[in-house]
Parts: sequence; structure tokens; C-alpha cells
Amino acid sequence: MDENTLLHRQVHPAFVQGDSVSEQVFQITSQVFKPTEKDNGLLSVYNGDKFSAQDSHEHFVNTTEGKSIGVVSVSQFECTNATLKVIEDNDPFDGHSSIDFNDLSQKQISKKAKILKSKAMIRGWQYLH
Amino acid sequence: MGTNHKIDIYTPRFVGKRFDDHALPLELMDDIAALQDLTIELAKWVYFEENPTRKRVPRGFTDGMEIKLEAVEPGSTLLKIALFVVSSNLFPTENIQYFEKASEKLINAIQSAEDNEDATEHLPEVYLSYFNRIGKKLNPDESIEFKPFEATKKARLTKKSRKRLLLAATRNKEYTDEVELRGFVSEMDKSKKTFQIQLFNGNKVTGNFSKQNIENLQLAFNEYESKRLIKIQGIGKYNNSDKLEFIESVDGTEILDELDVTSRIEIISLLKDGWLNGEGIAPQKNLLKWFANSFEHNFSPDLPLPNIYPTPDGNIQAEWVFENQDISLLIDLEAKTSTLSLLNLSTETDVDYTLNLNDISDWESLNKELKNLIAA
Repeated sequence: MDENTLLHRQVHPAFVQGDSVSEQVFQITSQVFKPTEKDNGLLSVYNGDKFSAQDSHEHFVNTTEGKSIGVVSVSQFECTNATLKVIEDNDPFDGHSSIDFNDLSQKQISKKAKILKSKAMIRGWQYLH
Repeated sequence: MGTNHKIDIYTPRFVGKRFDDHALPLELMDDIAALQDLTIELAKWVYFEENPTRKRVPRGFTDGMEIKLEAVEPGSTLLKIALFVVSSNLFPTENIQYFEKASEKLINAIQSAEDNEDATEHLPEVYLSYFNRIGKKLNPDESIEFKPFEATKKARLTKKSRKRLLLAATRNKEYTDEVELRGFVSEMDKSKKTFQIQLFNGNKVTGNFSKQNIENLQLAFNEYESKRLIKIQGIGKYNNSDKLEFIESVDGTEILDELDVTSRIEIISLLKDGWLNGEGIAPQKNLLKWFANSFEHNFSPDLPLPNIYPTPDGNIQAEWVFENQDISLLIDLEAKTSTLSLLNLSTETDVDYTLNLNDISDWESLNKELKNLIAA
């Protein structure tokens, strides 16, 4: 993984408003990039060197009970720039990585999630199911 | 030359916030007209009950007789409805008693419905269907008191008592009530003059349309694929389990903004616990409704509408993006407070404010802040 590696994040359908989004104009919530309680501060992403955006979507819907309407991505550099560490943990599967939000206040988490969302939106949908 | 008689037969009081200014909304005028029609039919029925050998009412039974709205008096909205009679050979004054008895029976039937007793002890089923026209525009917190001066038994017509009257009226157990629906027009049949609205939960309801509302319905139908939102208000037919079965008539339609907040809130209210891949508390429906109402009343119509999303802890977040400003309003539905977070994406500077959404001045602050950000 290098700084240009894309980190793919699955987007839950409730986090997109309307389902007639085009590839250019779309709106997702910053919550896409906010770890939930069960994440323990580690936001799950797919390592773009090992999964294409489409492959990551297929893997996600086939191996979990989770729902995903598509995939948005940020680069490792964008995370580092936002002072977020990327951990190439390959756990629970090869190609799994985590963006580390630990030791941050809720306010800081929200702010960094917004920054990542804006980067991802500039890049556009990497895969739309 | 006939003699004029005037008998006060109804003094209904309309109770509810809408009537505090002692005026009667025009949309309730049909109720008065229906009250007249029902009273006349009931008077005929009383006549036959008391004169069982007669096959028809006397000639001119209703001639020279008019039921009029005489005055609207203070005291919420108190109406004086009187029976005016120009008596002549054709309308003997003894006929007046049938109209008085008719109004008594009608009021007794309403009281029975309020007391959850059998209204058909006072009126035959067939006449109860007139309540499809009387009280149909009442809101849940409104009532019409037919005996406003009584201490306890005020013969209140409410949404609830009206439903009981209507369900007592029909064998197939249906009743009509006002309906407001949001969704997409999935079907139109010009030969039958019917349309179908697809609701956010996927259910479809068919209804009648008229020339007056064809334009918006057709626009929404033509743009069904791009999810063109429409609001439909009218009169719906419900079964006795309160399930909407059919839209009998459409009073109004409105093409909605694609970010229509009430529609979005309705969609979010369909979420169940565990909605976020096993996590995620479903926001409470009554709190969502409160937010939608507060938003509709207090958010400036000059401002762009936000995107609204559920949050995993059972709350919601409104979001706007203006140029390089990322704005979010995280709403704590239970506490009715919110945090407004403004982030400048260029400088990455941010500021937070706490807003009490029960306080109109805080809504004004939100409107002002957003206006300034757009203008900047």
C-alpha cells in the first residue's frame, strides 16, 4: 500500500438520499466515514491494491449480512493528511484495512469524517450497484 | 300571506385551535349543507315512524322551509343554525315538530357514538352514511359539540365518534376520512379516470381523479422513473382496521421538491431496529413527526432544503454543502436540541452551536446563519 492506494468504503442505502443519483452528482452523509460503536474506533475499508471497488462490493454483500448501494473511496494520503492512521490489518480477511479514529473526541471524529466525505465526493462513485 | 317561524335547531360549537378566531373555515361549509340534507331526510323518516299507514309525506312537506346558518358567535366558533318556515297551506306548522325531533335524534346518535354505544338505536343505519360529509375535515384535536351548553354530555363529533357512526352505518365496514399522501404516481388510466400512487413503503393505492388535478398527476406519472415526488390531499375510503383502500376524491395535488423533508422523514420512519447492518436504533415515529412539523413551520422557505439522514443512535442529521462549507445539524430527537456544526473545507476551521429546536428564536438563528453562509 502506498499513499495513492484507494481505500474503498461501502455505502449503506440509508446514507444516500434518493436512489436516482447520477455518477457525477451525488450526496452521501459524512456518517459513511464515521466508525460506529461496534467498530471500536476502527473504520473498515478495503485495500484498493487487493480489491477493485466492484470486487469489494461483491465481497461485502456475499460475506456479510450488510447492505451496500455502492462504493466511495479515499486515498491513503488523504487519510494521513487528515492525521488519520491507516492500518493494513488484513483481518478478518486478506485486503481488509482500518482507518484509525481512536483517541479522538466525537467532535474531531465528525470533522474528520466530513473531510474524508468531501474528498470521496470529489472522486465520485467508484462503483454503483 | 304566511306566518314566519324560526326555530333554533342546532347550535354546534367548533372546538380547536383553528376556530379560536370565531370564524368558520370555508372548507367546513359542506358540513352545514350535509346537516341540512340529513335533517330533512330524518324529518321524513320521523313522519313515517309516527304515521305508519302513510305511504308518502304530505305534499309540500319541505316547501317554505329552509335551514340557514344564522350567525357565527364567539365561544370558540359557535354556529346558530335555524329552521325558517314561511307557513302556508302547503306547510302546516305542525310539520315543524318532525324537524325538531329529527335534530334531537341526530344529536342523540352523536352522543351514543361518543359514549361508544349503538347509534342505530336513534337512527337507522342508512342515515348514518351522511356522516361521510359531516366532520370529514376535522383534525384529530378538533370537535363539533352539538350540545355545547351541557356540562358533560356535549354530543361531541370527533374523528373517533364520526368513525364509529360511519362504521355503524355500513355492512361492509368502511368509512371515509381526509387523507394526505406522498409518493410517486405509478399508474394513470384516463378512460377510468383513476390513478395509482406508490407510497414509500411500496404499497400502492388507487384513486379517482378529475380534470382539476390531472396536470400534476400526469407530470408525476411521466417522471415516475426519476422518482418525481407528489403530495395528494383528498378523501380516502378506509376499512374498519383503518387501512386506506381507495382515494375517493382528490382535493389538491402538489409537486414536491426532491429533498422534501416530510417525505424524507416518512422514509426514515420505515427503518427498523438493526437497520445499519445489524446496528442502528430506529428513530421514534412520533419524534420524527414532531421534527417534520417543526421544520415545516420554522425553516425559512427561502433557504435550500437539507439532505436528511438517520444516525445509528436513533437520531437524525440534516446536512447542507454550500461551496466549501460543510454544514450539519445533528438533532437529538428526544431532547429536541441540536448541534449545528460549520466546517470550512478550505481552511478546515470549524465552529459548533447548540440550538434548542423547541425555541422559535433558535430556528431563526439557524435560518440567519445559513443565509449568511450562502451570501458569503
